[in-house]
Amino acid sequence: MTQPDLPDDLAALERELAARPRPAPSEGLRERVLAAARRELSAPPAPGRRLGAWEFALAAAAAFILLLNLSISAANDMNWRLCGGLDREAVASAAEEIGRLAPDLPPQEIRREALILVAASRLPMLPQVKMRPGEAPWTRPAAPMFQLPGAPRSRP
Amino acid sequence: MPRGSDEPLVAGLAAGREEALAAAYARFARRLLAAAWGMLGSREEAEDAVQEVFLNLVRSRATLEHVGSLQGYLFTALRHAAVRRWSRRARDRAPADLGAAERAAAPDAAPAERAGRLERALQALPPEQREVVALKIDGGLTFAEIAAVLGTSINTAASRYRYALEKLRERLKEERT
Repeated sequence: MTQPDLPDDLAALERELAARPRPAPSEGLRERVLAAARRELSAPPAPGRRLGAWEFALAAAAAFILLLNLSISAANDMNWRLCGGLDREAVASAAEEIGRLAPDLPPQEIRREALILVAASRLPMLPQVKMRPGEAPWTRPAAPMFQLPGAPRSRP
Repeated sequence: MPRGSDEPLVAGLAAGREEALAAAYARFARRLLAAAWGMLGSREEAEDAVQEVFLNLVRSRATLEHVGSLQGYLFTALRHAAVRRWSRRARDRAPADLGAAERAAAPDAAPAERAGRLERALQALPPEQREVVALKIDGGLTFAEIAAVLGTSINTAASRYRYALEKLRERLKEERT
């Protein structure tokens, strides 16, 4: 049991630890263990876990929202564009147009521009922001959140 | 212990045979209880931990086919049971009785006093050192087996053991002076 590289005093301490009295398992422990095991072995298998009322309500609500979402999409005849591959015809015609407008561009660059153009034309529509001529949305002053009574009304 | 010698026992346990559990108890209970006592310092808690280990063995019998070493499995389960009890103690701030019952029952007063001092010093070790000493000295495991139980390298297990012995030596010296 002693490690070969332990100094003498540690080896002696190890021997002392090994020689100290230790409790032996009581007869009562053996009986307790075997009785508990017997109960466990004879117990019927635990039934499968059932959903609680709240969990069922949440799952039903999630399923309803998903169904609603899908049916609205179907009703609006939404184009999912799930399997739209590369429209080669559109790319070729765009490349032809770009080549005609900028004849000094190399063919590789013309094809790259055509691909970007076709890809951009298939992006989903974005809401249009109304702007005055020459004004970008980020330069417009923000409207104040609160208006104090009696204070002059600020113009948006 | 080679895997081959465990196979019939593990097969019996996996099949839920009571005689297999009795055989496993006869083979491992003494060492498990000694190691649990070394870790926890209380006979009552050690017996509870051992009972928990065997009960879990029965409950998880469906997964026993994949167990490589029954001894490793049991000592790992015992260590988990001890860690749970340490956490509970830390939460409740209840110290162990440091083997008081065993010391009181010892017939000779001088060895009992010496054993008591050793036991107090052992229980004052940090848990990660105490468990290595308990597994090595009381459980009779090799460093390779201890490393497998703790999920560390053999060198780490051996170093922890050595640090624990050094700390024990210092503590016993302090008590003498």
